[in-house]
Amino acid sequence: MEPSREILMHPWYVWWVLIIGLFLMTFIGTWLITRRWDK
Amino acid sequence: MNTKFLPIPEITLTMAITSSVGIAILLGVSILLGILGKKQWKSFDEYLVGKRDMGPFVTGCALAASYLSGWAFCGSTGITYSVGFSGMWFAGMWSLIGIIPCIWVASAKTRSFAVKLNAATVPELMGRRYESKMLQTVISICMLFFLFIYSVGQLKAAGGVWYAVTGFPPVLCLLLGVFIAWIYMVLGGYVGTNWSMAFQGAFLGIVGAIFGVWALVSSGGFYEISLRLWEQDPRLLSLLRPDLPKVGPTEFFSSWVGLLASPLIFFTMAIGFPHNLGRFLGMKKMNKKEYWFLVFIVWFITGIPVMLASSTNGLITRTLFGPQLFKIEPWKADLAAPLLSYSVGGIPLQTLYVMGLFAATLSTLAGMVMIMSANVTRDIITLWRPSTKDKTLIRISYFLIALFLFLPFYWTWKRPPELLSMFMGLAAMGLGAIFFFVTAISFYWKRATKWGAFWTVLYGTVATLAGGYLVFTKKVIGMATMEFILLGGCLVLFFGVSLMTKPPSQELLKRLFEGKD
Repeated sequence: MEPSREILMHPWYVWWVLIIGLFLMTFIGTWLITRRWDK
Repeated sequence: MNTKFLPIPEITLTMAITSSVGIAILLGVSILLGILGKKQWKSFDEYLVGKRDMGPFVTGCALAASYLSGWAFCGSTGITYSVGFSGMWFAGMWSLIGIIPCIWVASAKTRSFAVKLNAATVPELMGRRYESKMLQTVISICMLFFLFIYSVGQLKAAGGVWYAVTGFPPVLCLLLGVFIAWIYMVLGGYVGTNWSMAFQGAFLGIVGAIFGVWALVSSGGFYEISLRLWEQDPRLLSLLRPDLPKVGPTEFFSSWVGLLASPLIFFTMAIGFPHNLGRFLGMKKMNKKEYWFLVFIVWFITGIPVMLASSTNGLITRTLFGPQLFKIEPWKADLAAPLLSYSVGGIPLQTLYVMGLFAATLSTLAGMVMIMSANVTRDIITLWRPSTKDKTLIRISYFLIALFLFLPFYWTWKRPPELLSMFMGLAAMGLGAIFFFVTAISFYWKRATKWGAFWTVLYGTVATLAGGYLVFTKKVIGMATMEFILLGGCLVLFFGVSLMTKPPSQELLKRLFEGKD
């Protein structure tokens, strides 16, 4: 019997959260560090 | 034959020839960059750090290349191929959580402290930061020890994959690879090595991104991958695999302790690896735009290819080949990435993949060997015999680079001694745990003292050795638990002993911490 779509896609949702989260971490973190550099 | 899965492709003459030509091109360009780097140094100091004028592109590519080893480009795919989604945590999904904070925390500070203290190596920087020649020697010996152990396994993946795709014995190819690495390191010094590493990093980043995206697009999509994994074994979809042993390395896949330890390992390793910090010693002072460019380059090379290599590539290989690779001795799951590249993009993509793997392997090894050689020449010989001539030091460097390149080659060819194999797995964790505190924290915490650093180095070394025995020989604890033991002990000793001992001199603190970087 084929499992539900939810079960099959669950690990991918976590995977996407990681991909997007690490992308945001990289660029928001860099923005926070460098935002006062000009001054 | 199992008709459900693709057959294992046979090696063809075209495969062997194109891979050989590809490696020859990669090595040819590397050697050319080494020759060009020859003009960039005149003294031993310049041989070690150049003119401290490396821009963001070269620094970013070289940093990513030094961080990403053959394991990241090959072994990580094998992990998710073997255990499914639960393997992605340890296989490199967290790579960015290490290397990006490494730039934030260590890039500008390493450069600024090195310039203020006129240091050309990481131990020299630490020796002057802590005002102790004794500590510089201890750190250089510790670094040498860990890097040596860690370097031994570096060529294994490249050798295995080379044999698997060409059918030629890996001895000659690896020997040629290390010989060429020796030439560009000897000729180019820090600058030439950095340039070669940057080229290799850019290459592996582009190839890794093309490979990962291509495989994902041709796989039929996320739902299709999951469905085909489910049909083989529903446990491949689990984010944690409690059915796997909680002792040894599988603790990373089987428990929450493992899941929590993985990002910590990537974080401390990236910041603590001396061959990563070494990239910042010769970096120029960056403005805002250059700093953003540096972060972007490292994000691109480390983020896209490695996160795909550590997750989707292995899963897709499993859907295509099923569990067949476990039966192919001795390579087993290490064949996942080269076979996927062949099944997705034929000989052209497989050739690019093999070139990328060699690039990843040689760049990490070169970064480590350069540090190891300087550990002896600068941090031991020059420190205790300052009158030694530059010419003599450069000649000793040539010999040491050859030695430190040859030994990993020898132990890839012949089986490494049991004792060495046992500690190899934990060497990276040990390096990260020790030097995260001893170097990175000392850039920010004025109260850090030489005795705090000394006991951290000592504890970290002993705990790593004991951990290797307990995790791999006795198999009584898991590798992730060992990470917490290592890191916790280093943290307590570094802060505790520092607070109990005499702080560094006011003069030094003023010089390092006051005024602009």
